Amino acid sequence: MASVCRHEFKSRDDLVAYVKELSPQATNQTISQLQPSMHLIEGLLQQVSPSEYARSRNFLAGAVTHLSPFITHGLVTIQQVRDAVLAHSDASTGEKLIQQLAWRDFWQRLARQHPDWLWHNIESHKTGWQPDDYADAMPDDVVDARTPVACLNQLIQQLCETGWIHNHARLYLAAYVVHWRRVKWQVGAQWFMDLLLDGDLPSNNFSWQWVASTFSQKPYIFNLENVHKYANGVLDTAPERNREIDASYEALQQRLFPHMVEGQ
Amino acid sequence: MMNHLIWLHDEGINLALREHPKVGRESEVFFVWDNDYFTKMRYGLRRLVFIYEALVSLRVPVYEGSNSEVCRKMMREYDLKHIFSVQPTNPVLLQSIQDLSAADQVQWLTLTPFVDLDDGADHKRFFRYWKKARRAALQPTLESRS
Repeated sequence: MASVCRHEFKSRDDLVAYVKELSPQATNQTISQLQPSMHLIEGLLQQVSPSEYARSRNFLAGAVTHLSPFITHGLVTIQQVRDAVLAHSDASTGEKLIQQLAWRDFWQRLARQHPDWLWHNIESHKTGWQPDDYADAMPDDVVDARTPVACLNQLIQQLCETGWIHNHARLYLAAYVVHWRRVKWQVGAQWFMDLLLDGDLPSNNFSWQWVASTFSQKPYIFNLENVHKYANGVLDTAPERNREIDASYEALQQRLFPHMVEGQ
Repeated sequence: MMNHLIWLHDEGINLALREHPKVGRESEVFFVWDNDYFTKMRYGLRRLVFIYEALVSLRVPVYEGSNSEVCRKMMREYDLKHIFSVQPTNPVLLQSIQDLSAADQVQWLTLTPFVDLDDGADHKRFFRYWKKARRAALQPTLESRS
């Protein structure tokens, strides 16, 4: 019979050391403060606030559920979260939050139907660039949080240190990697999978394709004004430290996609 | 007396599977610590600690080895023809037990879907899916089905 692994530990450090022994190949990373337990999950389900979520969900400090790592690993299902939402509110108030759960269901169904889409372009780019125009490796300054964009460096640091960033922040980073730095979305998607505690292949990879425009009608981009609005003071959005993204959408589109043909 | 074994993998660390009508009460769960799979997935220490802590908190037995080998050994040990599990979405995870599933040695437990939609329908854009799913999605989940 295969050997049974330990279940008793003197401390969390003891457990972490044991996991390192079990999996010496694993990249060394900061350990999450989240300590999974059913008690914690039940607490988070109790705290779900559908009305607050609907009001603030796009803000980086918004009232999101923080249940995603537990959903990814099956400790709680999206059905259970939906039921908690409906226990706290009527369907109309809960709709925004349930719609986000539905995105996950949608990605899962798509991955089951088309597993080959997880790592391959579903459609062609609508950016005017060809697949080979995108780089095969992450730029060092992005990985090391030393880009010329201060607010993005803060998000990269948070991602590396905690394994979690807000969904809106994920879209900013993905757009920066794919459109500003012209890196293949697959490379960025793998970078996120390496770091995110809640990294779920369908949600992660299809979202990267959505940003890249290989699974959407147009590329997703953002600008400093948008970050400033949704960061609401939690990021450094001083224009002098974020020049690369400090422009109108029209100007950015012309700069990032000079060969783009509208309506293609 | 244990009648059934449920393989919990990293997409489904959930003890509620023991209450699935297909397995009944006399079932045991287990998890396989498969470093080859983790390496293919490039799981870092943060995620591995999270998974391990979840397993410890739920008191799920963890066996070291490859998913396929350990599942086979467990079946031999308990004289079972198959194990139960939830079908993973991740192709790498599915591949890791492909020999067992090809030999019908894994039975997939069907869970109550988030919404009951025709899986054959190809909803290539979310809002096409949502148009059909919305009404059901805003209803509480029904009882588990077999």
